[in-house]
Amino acid sequence: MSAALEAKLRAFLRSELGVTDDALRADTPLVSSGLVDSAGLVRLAALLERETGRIIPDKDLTADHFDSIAQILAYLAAA
Amino acid sequence: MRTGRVELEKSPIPSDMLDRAETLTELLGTLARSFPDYACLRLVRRDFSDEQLTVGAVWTRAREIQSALMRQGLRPGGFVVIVMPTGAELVATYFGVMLAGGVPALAATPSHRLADPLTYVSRVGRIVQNAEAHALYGDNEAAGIFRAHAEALPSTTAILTPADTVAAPLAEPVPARGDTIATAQYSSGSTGPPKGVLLTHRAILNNIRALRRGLRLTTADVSVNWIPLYHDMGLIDAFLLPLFSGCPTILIPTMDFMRDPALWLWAIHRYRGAHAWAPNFAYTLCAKRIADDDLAGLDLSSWRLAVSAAEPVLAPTVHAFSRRFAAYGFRPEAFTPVYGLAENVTAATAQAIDTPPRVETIDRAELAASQVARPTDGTGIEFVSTGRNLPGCTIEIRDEARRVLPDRAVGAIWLQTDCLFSGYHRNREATAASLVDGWLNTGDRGYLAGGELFFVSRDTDLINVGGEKYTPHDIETAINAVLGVREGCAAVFGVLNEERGTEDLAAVVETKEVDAAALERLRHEIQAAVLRATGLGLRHVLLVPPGGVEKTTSGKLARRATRSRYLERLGAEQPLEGES
Repeated sequence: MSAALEAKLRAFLRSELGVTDDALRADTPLVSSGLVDSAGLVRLAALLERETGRIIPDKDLTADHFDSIAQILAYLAAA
Repeated sequence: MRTGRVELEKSPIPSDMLDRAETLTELLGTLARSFPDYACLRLVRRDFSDEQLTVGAVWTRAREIQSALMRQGLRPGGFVVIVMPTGAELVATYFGVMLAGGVPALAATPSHRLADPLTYVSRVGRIVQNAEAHALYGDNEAAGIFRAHAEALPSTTAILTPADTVAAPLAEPVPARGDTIATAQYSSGSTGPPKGVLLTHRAILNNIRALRRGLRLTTADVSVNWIPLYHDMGLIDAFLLPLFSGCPTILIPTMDFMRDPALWLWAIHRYRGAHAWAPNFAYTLCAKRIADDDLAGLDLSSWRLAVSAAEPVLAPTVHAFSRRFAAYGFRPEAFTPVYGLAENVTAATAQAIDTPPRVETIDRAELAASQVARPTDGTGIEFVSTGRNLPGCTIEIRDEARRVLPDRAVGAIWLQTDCLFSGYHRNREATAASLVDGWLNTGDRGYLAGGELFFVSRDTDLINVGGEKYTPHDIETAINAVLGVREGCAAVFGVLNEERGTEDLAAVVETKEVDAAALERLRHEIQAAVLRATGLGLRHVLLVPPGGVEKTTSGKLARRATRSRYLERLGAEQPLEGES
């Protein structure tokens, strides 16, 4: 997965959460910790769709795939 | 690409049609006979594909569904719980159940993917059980989830999909009267099963008439909304109000808005929208979370009524939204806070349509000490006026002995209107507590000042996240099941997050655990359990030693006292560091 995509993802999370980058580890829980709410999660999916050109179906928008930066990148790499 | 415009067909619907109507079904029938080809509804999706729905098509499909349900044994007064995304089938099913003499009850769609499906089905199951529903009627996706978790549903209730209601020989509709129950609106109770708010045709029509007059809606006012129709604001204000007021009605499926909030604003631009409703969080979202690039060329000058309802209207949101969108033609006087609740169908008050929202700064110390809202020039708490009573509504602020309080005294908000609900379905105790001598005890606290109503707080422990209410007890039950939590010693409440414009969930949880690593694990397990149960993240978790959660003298959880005790610590909490 491209470093550019990870950078975009981190930029989104920084503006969404109002945190600095060093506070965001690859395994920081995003959804279960309440940092990203359901509205934030679907907009995150929209961003990833724009950046990767693929469709992320609603049914994949779960904490299993989207709870950390590492999981998100793994999800996109697996598809 | 998005800057294009579409001119909508002018509504042929005469404005007095709504005034004379006795029932929703009669009104729909009259419309269908008089203007069958009028496109009363447009569904706009993320790609701006736009599906038009004529009154005639809605009527034809509704009659088919009605006939099929009657053949399948739906009796007058029987409930049908409907679970479908915003679309043509949902609209037709809603009226079809009513035409069969049944009571439609819309329940949340399984779009909260973060929650465990079994927990979701159990929640719908509790509605089905309270309704003693004849059928649970969903689209294929919802029905699939229900069938996969049928053990959480009463075995006597049939699960139906649109395929079960086609090609039935047409039967005569069951006639309704003004006082027939037209809809049940299910809402969370603080405890116990969900409460089915029963609404008559007359109550719904009176509320719509009051809003049309109060907001001076005309058939030229295009309405653009994305609120799900299972929400009272979606069903009544985003759908029935414009439909029967003859306003061209644009509906955006909720998930399309969530993925791309700018779509709502662009749809207002495209169709020259005049009238839209949303909870506070959505205005915050638009003010703070849409990039400038996504707004280039946007024109919101047609937007006459930006109604904010269903959760407290926050002053910073009003300011941020009005400021940001002024450059796009948005006028501050378009912002229209309202106060309402399902027990009054929807709105009871509304901000005057030609003035910007009135914001008061209230002296915090005097408010706490004497429950009087005294304006101050210094710092204090900001409250946003929700305006004056709509036509047909009287408001009183009362003390605990139900004596009427003077201006600026904070007390319980009581309403007398011509659109009150008829009671909670099969729940006499709750009905008797809410409907007293023809008045509605709203369970909310507020004050009146010069005829304007200011909402202060809820009287219940319900948590309001983005206009959806959550029962703390359900969330605490999920937490109590986590190993290491002292059973019965978890208190859950809402904490305002101004950045999001709504409440975050917070929990104070007792544990005997002291090891730092074990505490960190426990914290994650609690967060995961809450996510499964609600689909919501638990933003704040405070793990405290035994005795840390406040209880009443009789040993009951004291959520508000717990909240007061820890609020400062929660406010000081660093978002990513947490604490244990």
